[in-house]
Amino acid sequence: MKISRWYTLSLGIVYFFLLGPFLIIFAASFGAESTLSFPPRGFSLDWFANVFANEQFIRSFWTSLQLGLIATILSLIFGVPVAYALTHFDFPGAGFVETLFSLPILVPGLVIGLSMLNFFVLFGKFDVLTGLMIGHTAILFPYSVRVVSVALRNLDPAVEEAAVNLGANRLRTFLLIVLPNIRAGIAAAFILGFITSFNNVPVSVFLSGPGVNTLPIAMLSYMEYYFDPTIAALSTILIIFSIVLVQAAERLLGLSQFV
Amino acid sequence: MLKINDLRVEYEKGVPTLDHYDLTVNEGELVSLLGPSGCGKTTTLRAVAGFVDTAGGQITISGRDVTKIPPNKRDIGLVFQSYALFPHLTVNQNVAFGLRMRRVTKKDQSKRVDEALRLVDLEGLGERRPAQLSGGQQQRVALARAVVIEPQLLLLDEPLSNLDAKLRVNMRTEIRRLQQRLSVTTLYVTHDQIEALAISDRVVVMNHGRIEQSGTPEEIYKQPQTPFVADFMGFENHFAGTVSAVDTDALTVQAADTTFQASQASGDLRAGDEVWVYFRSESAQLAADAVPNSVPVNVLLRTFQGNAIEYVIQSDLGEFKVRLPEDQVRFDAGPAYLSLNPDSLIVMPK
Repeated sequence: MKISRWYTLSLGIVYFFLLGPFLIIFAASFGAESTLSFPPRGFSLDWFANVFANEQFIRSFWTSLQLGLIATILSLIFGVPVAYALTHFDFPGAGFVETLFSLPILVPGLVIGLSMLNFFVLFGKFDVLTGLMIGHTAILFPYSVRVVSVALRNLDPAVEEAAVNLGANRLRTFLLIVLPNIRAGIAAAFILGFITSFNNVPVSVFLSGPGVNTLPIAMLSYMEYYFDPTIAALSTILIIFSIVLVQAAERLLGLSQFV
Repeated sequence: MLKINDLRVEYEKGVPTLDHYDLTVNEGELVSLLGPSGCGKTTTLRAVAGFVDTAGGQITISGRDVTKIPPNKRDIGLVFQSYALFPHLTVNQNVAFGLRMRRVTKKDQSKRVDEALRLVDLEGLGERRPAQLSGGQQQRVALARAVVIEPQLLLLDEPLSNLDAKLRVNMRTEIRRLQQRLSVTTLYVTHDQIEALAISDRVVVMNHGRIEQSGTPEEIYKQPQTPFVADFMGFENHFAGTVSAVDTDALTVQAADTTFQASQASGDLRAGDEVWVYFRSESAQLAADAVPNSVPVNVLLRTFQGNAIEYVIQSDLGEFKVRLPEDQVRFDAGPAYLSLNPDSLIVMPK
């Protein structure tokens, strides 16, 4: 009895602090007053209209979308072969390589962003968008490698050997047998990667530049000047967008088995 | 025909798992490799399939040296312990995979797939996915997929170990029937001696990467030549002795104060050799009085086992187990005589 009461209480506390802020933002986005306040007074959808009227938001939304898609695809193009190598070959330093790939997860995002900025200034003359793409690909890469590795480890090695035994070479085995069986893992990596890129602030804040902003950066700069519920309305839209995306993935693919 | 010559396999450099390994499987023969886990039987099979690099020696299939040929070009049918069906493909597509890789026309593919499925009694299940089949059915798909390519050699790696006991016996018979019908040269790996004895033309018992004994199931069962094979084949009792006399078709062995006759050709045994004498618990008898070829014992324990009564007995030669038919006279704890038929004793050098 005692344990179960503690369990309920802990769960309650966690939920309160986890979901409470969201609920406040959600409620505040429908407020009629021109400052962000809780509890909201009145009801209005004006702030949602305001979001779509803001050219900065629209433009940065497209930038973020484009960035998220391309960076995720690039991270998979590089990540899948690495995951394949890590799970199939016992090469010296495999453990080191795996640790190396988790580095971007372990190092604070601000440090990565700052280092990348320095790196690009020293070695490359990329335009802002290319810089962002390289930066985001780099932070998504470890996620792709990890999630795809899990999917590959779940596939019985004998299945691949069976294909080889029946006459398929390595490439055909990969394309005809391995790839179709890890597509759920790849989709999971894709969604996880996309959301990670879409939400990223610390790396983007260093790599974005004049005229090119990601949505979170645009939101930050908006908040420096205004304190109206527009930002709450936009947050509500983004929360719903994320929930729908993750739920759809969970239903379709069983996302949680990979992450 | 499969011919393995002086094969050497090393997983770790300089540490051979197999060394100087020779094995021949004749055309149409089913040979099983029998042994405990880690004895090298699976390594042998994987080397033949091409999934393990060889460090020396030669593997020939139907006269073709495949030692350096990659696994996808060896033309071998392989059935895995886990079946290893392609989960995303239907039964038809699974079975057709090897034909597809061989660029067989669509029309011929479907004809041969139907034929193979009929052979394993799976007609009408072609559109199902592996996950919708029972373990036994999956096993049949794996078999069909391996034989549909009409391989020069069929390899089976513990194919029955994931099935329940009853199904295992049925599938064993079916595999044997299929193998004889196609008269395909077959190498069968198992750790189950009953399975090996039942299914094989020849059994090869392996231990620590070496062949302990090779022979027909009857030879292996009745005339083990090494202590390992005797243990593995269920000879539960043995004692040490010295050969005291050698005849053309009989041996006399002295053990403790008792002299035993064994009706066995001496082989390489000479008078004075130290030997082990093995006998099965079912082939021994208990007697109330001393008879020829018997030794005084003390009955320690009697347990009822349904169709048999098992006794644990103690003698100067050691502790033994004796199983007598349930309907025979029962012995109580106390003195008795263990009587050993000369035909039931297996004598081998120590």
